[in-house]
Amino acid sequence: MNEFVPYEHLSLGELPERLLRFCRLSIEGRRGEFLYAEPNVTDQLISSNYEGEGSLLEVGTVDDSEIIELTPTRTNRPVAAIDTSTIRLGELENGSLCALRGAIVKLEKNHYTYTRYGPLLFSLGNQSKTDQIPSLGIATNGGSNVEILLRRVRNSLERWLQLGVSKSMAGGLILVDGSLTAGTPDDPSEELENFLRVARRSENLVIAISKNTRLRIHDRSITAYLDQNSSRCLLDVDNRIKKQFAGYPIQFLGRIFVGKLARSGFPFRIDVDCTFSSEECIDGIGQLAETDLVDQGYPETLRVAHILSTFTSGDVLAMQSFATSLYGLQLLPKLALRRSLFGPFGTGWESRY
Amino acid sequence: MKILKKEGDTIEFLCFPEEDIEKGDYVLVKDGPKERALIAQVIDVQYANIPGILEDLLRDGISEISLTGEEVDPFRVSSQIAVLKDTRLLIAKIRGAMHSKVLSRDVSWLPSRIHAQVEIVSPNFLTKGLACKHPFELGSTRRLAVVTSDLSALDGRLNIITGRKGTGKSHLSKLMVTTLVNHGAPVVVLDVNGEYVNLGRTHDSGAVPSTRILSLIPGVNLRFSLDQIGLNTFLGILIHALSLPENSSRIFARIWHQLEQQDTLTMKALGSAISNSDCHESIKDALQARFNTLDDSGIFTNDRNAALNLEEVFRTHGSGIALVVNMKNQSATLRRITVELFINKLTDLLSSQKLRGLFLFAEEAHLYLRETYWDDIVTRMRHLGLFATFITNQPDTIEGGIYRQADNIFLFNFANEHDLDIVSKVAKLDGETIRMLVRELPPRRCLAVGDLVGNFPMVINVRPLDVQTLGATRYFFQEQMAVV
Repeated sequence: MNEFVPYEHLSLGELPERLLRFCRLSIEGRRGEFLYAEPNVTDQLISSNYEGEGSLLEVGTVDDSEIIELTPTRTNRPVAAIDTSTIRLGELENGSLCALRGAIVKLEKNHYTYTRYGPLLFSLGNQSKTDQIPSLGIATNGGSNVEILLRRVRNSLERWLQLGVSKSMAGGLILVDGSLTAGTPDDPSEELENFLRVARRSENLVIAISKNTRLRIHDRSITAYLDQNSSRCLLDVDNRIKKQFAGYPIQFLGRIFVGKLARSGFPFRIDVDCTFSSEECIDGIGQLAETDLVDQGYPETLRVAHILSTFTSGDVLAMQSFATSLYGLQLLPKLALRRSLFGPFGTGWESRY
Repeated sequence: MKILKKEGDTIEFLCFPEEDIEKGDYVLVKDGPKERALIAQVIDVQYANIPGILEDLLRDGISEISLTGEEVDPFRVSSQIAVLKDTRLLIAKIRGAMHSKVLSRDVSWLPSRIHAQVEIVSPNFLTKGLACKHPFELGSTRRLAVVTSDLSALDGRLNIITGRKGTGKSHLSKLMVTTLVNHGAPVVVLDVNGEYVNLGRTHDSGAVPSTRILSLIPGVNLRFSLDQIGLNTFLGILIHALSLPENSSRIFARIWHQLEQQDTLTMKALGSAISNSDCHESIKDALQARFNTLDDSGIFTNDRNAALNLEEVFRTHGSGIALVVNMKNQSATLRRITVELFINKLTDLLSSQKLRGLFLFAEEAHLYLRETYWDDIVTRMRHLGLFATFITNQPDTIEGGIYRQADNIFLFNFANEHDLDIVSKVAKLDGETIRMLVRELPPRRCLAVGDLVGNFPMVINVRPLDVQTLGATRYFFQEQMAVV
């Protein structure tokens, strides 16, 4: 378990000391190094996050009669959404300078509040003795791929925030970005199971919403099957998907639906904690649709959590400047190889810089 | 501050929030080891176009309007983000350079963008090149409590003070008048609104005015005898101020000569001679009508003792005097007559070296100065020693050619595009600077351009005056005074 702090000591008012120490020490070890700024930061900013099942999947056929009409129900249940984001700020001599940010947005008694964590700056990818990753309890498996490590650090913060919300809120709806799929090295199933267990203990219902999905039926995205339906509705695709992955180590800890939460809104893949019955899951989604604002079919709490945690180009500039002034890193533009070799005939992003 | 780019005489800087700089300020761009620096004036302050700023502001907007929340930011990185959002872009114009600590106009080189140090400089640094033989306090700037200049920069120069009404033009001209007088200079003010007449009274001097400010009222204590002014001046008035046709003027000259030969040249005799003249009735009528106008003005007298002896006045006030020609409540015709007479007399005194030089302040000169006089004052009379300062709130009443020849120009606030277009043609300064700086000047603050500020345009708060200035815009609702 790569939790930052034991569950009993978890408090959302401050970030775990272990994480802060990791950030501090990982950069301190790089003092005075050159920082080659990433010219393709904007590409990172607009990159899509898939929910992680990998390749395209064929999940059988869908009958119109399977589409369930969603009955929105207004409740007093609090709603909380968690989102995190990371970005690479530049390359160091042996690794990368990265940043991490997270946000929790809560809706209680018709009032939205937020807590934003970070930005936290740290370095990754150094296999020397100054490497700080093990101090977080994150397994490196001997590898130093920055992308993988960055995803794991991000997942750790996200799980910590999710656990914190699960502990501090009772009887609510907890929204997370993505799916409730686990069992990968980046996202061990024990951690997700732990989060769901803690949430259930406080009678919270965890709902994961994916903006993008690769799941397909008859060469059509599963979300396309609700495109023609203008009313609020759900499609239960749980059995069909889980059958496809019977022989895989991936674990689906959520019941999988395709849902349209608002009239004429977009359909999304929706995973709900599978320990609840199908009816309870559908009721929970119905409560979400009426309790939170669901403009265009996407819950407002999750939308705002995403906005608050995302990095903008200005944030990147400021963090680079912060790193250079505080830790003595020397900022240099990264060599644009394509630009050097091909000039205006380069075809990649480098030709633009 | 960092140099962002330079194009022509425009240089742009990135300026961070903790750096206190405003429009009009000067910066020195030091080129390190080469011992040279560029001098640039900030003419506009904009927000720097930071990547992602739209997203940042939208995000802030969302959280400010509908959300309350807290930030857990243990390393205080957000403060750096806030700094970036408030980073400003300074647009500046290069005004000069320094080479080995000496002011220079050679700006043909480019400072290093990486190594150059940019620092704010005091206006004192820029005006120290002025030879201060006759120093006077012009006012202050944001960075300098006292801006001192040299009256020599007004000597032999043509000056223009312009700005919309109520912005402080007259205040500046009064400051200049009193300063010149205090330094022993002879000054004539053509005062259309009677607002200079109390310049001799300080706020606490009560009824005892200074003897160095002499108010002259046409027809009362401003009168001339015919032998003082002569035929040419008299004819000039008839032709230029009263539009007498050429034929009639010849007849009048003949009458004048006859009376002169008989040694009976008086206003009464002139009137009788015109009535009894054997010329054509229409000419006689034309002469009679114009003569009556002049006679009724009361500006001519047969009593030489009652006539104003300008030469004597200037001689007895060698330590400085201002003659304020108060033309308040007078008809346009009488104003033109008065000014024509006065300038003719002054020209005589200057031509005959009886007066070494004279400073003329003309408020709204288009109301009384005939067109042919403008060029005359700017060119010929300047060589005689008549140094004019024109004050107007209608910049289009002064010809472009005069703006181009002006040595000092004081621009107060203009908001009107048409007015800004006109003053943008000032030869000593680019139009962009004028547009950027003048549009936002508050009352009593002006952009001074020219010799008086060492040819480094400067935004100056004009010094307050301890005299009863009158002329301030009068309000029905008095509380407005505090606002303006």
